[in-house]
Amino acid sequence: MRCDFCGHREAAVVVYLAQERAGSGDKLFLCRKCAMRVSVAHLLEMGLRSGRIQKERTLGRQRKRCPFCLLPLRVVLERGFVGCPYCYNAFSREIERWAREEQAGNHHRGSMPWRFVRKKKIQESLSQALRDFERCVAEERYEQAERLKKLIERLRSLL
Amino acid sequence: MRTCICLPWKKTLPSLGVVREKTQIVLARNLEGLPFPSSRFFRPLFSEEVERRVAGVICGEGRGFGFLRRQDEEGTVSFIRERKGQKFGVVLGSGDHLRIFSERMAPLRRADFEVVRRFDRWLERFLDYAFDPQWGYLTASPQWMGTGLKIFVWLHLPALSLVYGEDQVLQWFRERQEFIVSGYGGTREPVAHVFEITNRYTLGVTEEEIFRGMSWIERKVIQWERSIREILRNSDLHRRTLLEKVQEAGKDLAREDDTKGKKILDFLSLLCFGQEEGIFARRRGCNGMSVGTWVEERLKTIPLRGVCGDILEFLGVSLGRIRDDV
Repeated sequence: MRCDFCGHREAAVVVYLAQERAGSGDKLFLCRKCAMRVSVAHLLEMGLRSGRIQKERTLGRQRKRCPFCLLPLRVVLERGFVGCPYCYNAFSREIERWAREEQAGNHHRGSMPWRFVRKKKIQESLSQALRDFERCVAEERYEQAERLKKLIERLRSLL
Repeated sequence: MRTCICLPWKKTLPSLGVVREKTQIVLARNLEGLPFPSSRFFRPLFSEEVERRVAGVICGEGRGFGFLRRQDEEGTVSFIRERKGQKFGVVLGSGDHLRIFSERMAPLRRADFEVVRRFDRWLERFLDYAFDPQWGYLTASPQWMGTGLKIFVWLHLPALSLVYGEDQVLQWFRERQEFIVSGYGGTREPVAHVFEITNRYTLGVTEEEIFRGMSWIERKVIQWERSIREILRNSDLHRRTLLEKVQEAGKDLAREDDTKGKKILDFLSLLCFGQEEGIFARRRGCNGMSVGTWVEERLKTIPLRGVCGDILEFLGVSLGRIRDDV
């Protein structure tokens, strides 16, 4: 079954929506990604249309809104404020266009939180280990390749 | 009896050539997964959650910082420490979840910048900030996204404004794209010749670059203002011209019934400048101008809270100390 929200990914989560009428309810099928992104408030506000949520893809650009805080793009453009961290994903195209004109670059160059620095370092080590592993296999140095394989597994578990 | 404005209502006089300035370093941070204060869902549920989390860290882990908890009339909570002329702390729910700041009535100092960054790194150990590898630290206003760092410098530039005119000074600043220049509090027109300079870019630049850029512009403008002040101080012709201008401005103001705050504050700014630079006699102030009572009356009519109050404080004017001098 397809996701009721995005309409193209396979549904993996079932949400039961209780209605005011006692004893009646409705199911909503969501894919993993939409289940993570969409807020319950959004589901309730959008309402059910013949038993199903109106699909996001049918909304026009004018009605584009953040799936988490429900802030419409129109309001963001008028006020110059976003409502939540997820707005940056929802309006990434508009923010990117704005940043290209108003900021010094389109990519963050400053400091990072510690957890991101750690993740970045692990990813760098992992890609280096993968490169070394492939080279060792090609050169038939299997003992070293075995050691690298263990290291790769350990690094992957840390991510 | 003749009324005049004289020194006692000025708290202290800086030495010659010292440009009054105030600096503020602000770091905007938001917590992961919570709506920003600009969202309609923020209050009251999430504002309490932010306060609970941050206060928990500051009161529990950060006892050594010596912060005092404050709450203003609008309910904004802040933890502030005042020490050796530096105001340092964190404001919750004002624009962003947290705004770490350091404020001082002095030029930009690297030590203040480092204190703010250290405190940010310390908080980060206990709180998860909203961060995106592309956009950097996510803030309520995209104008702050990236580093989330804004450095504000307020400069009192009466000599430049007097010689070149405020519009021309603003125009010069606007030619440099990397800074935003306005009046105190972001107003379009500078009041009392106080200019606010801040960095435009927060994304695509590092914190260090922002700090260096702001220090550079601050130094340049102060040098420029000082050179003009020196010319004004050393030339009799210029001194006379300045005195005449102030006297004319005072007389004009005295004639007008409906005066706006800007005119009064501009006039006070010139008086302060004249006294600080020794252009007007120190003990006798603006003797000869019967405007003391008038200024005192007018100051009662303008809103002294907010920007006007801040500007008076910035100029070192303490109300209630304007006195009649025979």
